[in-house]
Amino acid sequence: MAVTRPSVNPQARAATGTLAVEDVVKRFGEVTALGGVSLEIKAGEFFTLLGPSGCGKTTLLRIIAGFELPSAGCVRLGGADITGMPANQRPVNTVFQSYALFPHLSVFENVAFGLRSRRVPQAEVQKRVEMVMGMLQIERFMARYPHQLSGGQKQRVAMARALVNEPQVLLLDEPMSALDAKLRAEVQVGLRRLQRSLGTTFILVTHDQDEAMTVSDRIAVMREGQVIQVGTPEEVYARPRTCFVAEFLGAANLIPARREGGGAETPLGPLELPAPPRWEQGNLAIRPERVELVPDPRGHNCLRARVRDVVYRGSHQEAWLEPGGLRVRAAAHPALRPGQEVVVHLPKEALVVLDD
Amino acid sequence: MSRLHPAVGITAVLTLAFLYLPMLAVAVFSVNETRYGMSWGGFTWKWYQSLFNPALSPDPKLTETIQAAFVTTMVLAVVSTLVATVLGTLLAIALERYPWTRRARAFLDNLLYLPVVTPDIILAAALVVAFSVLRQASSLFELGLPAMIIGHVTFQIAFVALVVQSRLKSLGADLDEAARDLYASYGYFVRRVLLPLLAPGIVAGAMLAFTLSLDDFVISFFTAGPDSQTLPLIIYGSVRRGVTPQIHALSTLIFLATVILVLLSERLTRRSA
Repeated sequence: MAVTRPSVNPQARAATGTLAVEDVVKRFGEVTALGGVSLEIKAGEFFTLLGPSGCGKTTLLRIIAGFELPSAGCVRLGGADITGMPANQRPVNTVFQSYALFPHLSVFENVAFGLRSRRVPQAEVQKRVEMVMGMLQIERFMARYPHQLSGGQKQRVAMARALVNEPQVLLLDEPMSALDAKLRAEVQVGLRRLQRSLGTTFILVTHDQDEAMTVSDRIAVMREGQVIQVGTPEEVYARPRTCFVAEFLGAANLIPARREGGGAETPLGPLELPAPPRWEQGNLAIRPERVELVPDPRGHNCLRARVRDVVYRGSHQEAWLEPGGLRVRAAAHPALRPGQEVVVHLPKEALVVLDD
Repeated sequence: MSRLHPAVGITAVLTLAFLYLPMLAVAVFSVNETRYGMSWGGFTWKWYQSLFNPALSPDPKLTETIQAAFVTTMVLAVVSTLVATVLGTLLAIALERYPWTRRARAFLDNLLYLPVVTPDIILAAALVVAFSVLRQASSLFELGLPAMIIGHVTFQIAFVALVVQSRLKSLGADLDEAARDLYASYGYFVRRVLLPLLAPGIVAGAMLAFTLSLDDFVISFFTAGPDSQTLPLIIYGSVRRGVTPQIHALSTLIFLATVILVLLSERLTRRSA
């Protein structure tokens, strides 16, 4: 998705309010989909709700859109309580996972739908639809019908249909799940650029951690109806707070540990830590790419190990070591061999003390 | 390639013949010059002509009765279809779009399906009982055309609702939400999205309902009054008096009308699917 024009209507792009979700609970019968979620999403932010299926991220998005009423808690936009405001009155628009384009309307009429239902004069409809279609480069498909479009084209029409209304907040429900991997990477970068140039608050729901890292200003990692951690991509990747976050965002070595003075006693031996743990017994995490292979043991946090398996990945190689199943990502050369003796160094600053 | 055993093929052909030969016989006798008996007396359109013109009929009174019955049949079919289509469509939308619990939905789906499989005769007898009670409140429920319309509507609704419901299922509820998200009021959504998309289903359901009304005998027989004879009732009456070629012509026309309606309605549902 390429962006040719920076803005639909610059005057209308004045910064809008913060979206605040306060202690939102949603129960469906016996099932609790959201167990008290609070978030503050700043105006103009690209915010991602990331989590495995069933974690409540889509339910939260539907509550913000106005399709579901929370069982408790409230949603505020720019300070005003919009919890009970009907979906068709919220300055919030949605890009649906299925795109939900109207099959009996042309691309133009699909995009114009939101303006027409608010009785915007024809001349302005024409102008705004053409502008947003130009921005998303879909003018060529104006007269086509949804069934004549490819997945990527449909996705852009769905974006245009939402953005033409100049929403304060754009909600995106897994908008790339129907695209193939190559196109997806391209669309992610385009989406990021579009959001920057519009300055609109985007809230994306996804289960794809790569996608979340690529596009987001901040990520909320969700699990079982709770927000586990909120932070920039760097923060949640480099300083995960729990085992779940560490493992959900990329590969992680989890090392069970017992506190020993300011450091920890682990199955790999004693390790020095950046900060003393608050628990007696818990877990440490280290990313495979932060584990170093060194010629010989020197100083702390070094240990001898044996290569169990190696996978060649082209740009790098990945090895599983014994003891402990430690995963290491190393430069592709020199090639490691199974059974080879190595010395690894777990740099103190790369070790993360998890909360659990 | 799967190969067909000759016996299977032959059975199929014979079965089809078994299904359509009686109708073919009626069609043949409807263009037979001979008035009585089973012998072939040469080709003629006169029985058809006599349906439209009492002067050409050997039995002018029968022609007049048939013409009156034709009017009754059409009024009955048109009015009951209109009512059943509106009610059936609303029923389908309510059943399909309201957030019922799963158990309630299954129950309601069965409730909708039941009238389709209930024998007509049971429904007819029930209507007679219901009308005799309701008659104490209003003369609308006297046996006759109004009662027949109500009777037809009761069995048509389920058919309309089932056809519309399957169309609604295939559309999915996303579009409802998309329209709401794009500031549409419910009325605007219904006009701009729901009705245009449901139209093929609604028309197909209406045609099915119309055909059923046209062909109905049992419900009409139980609810008809002395001056509200329909074509099927006339045919039934004339069979007892001895079938004339005029009745054959009438039957053939009704059959053709039904065939056309069914083909049209099938075409509509297929194209929109």
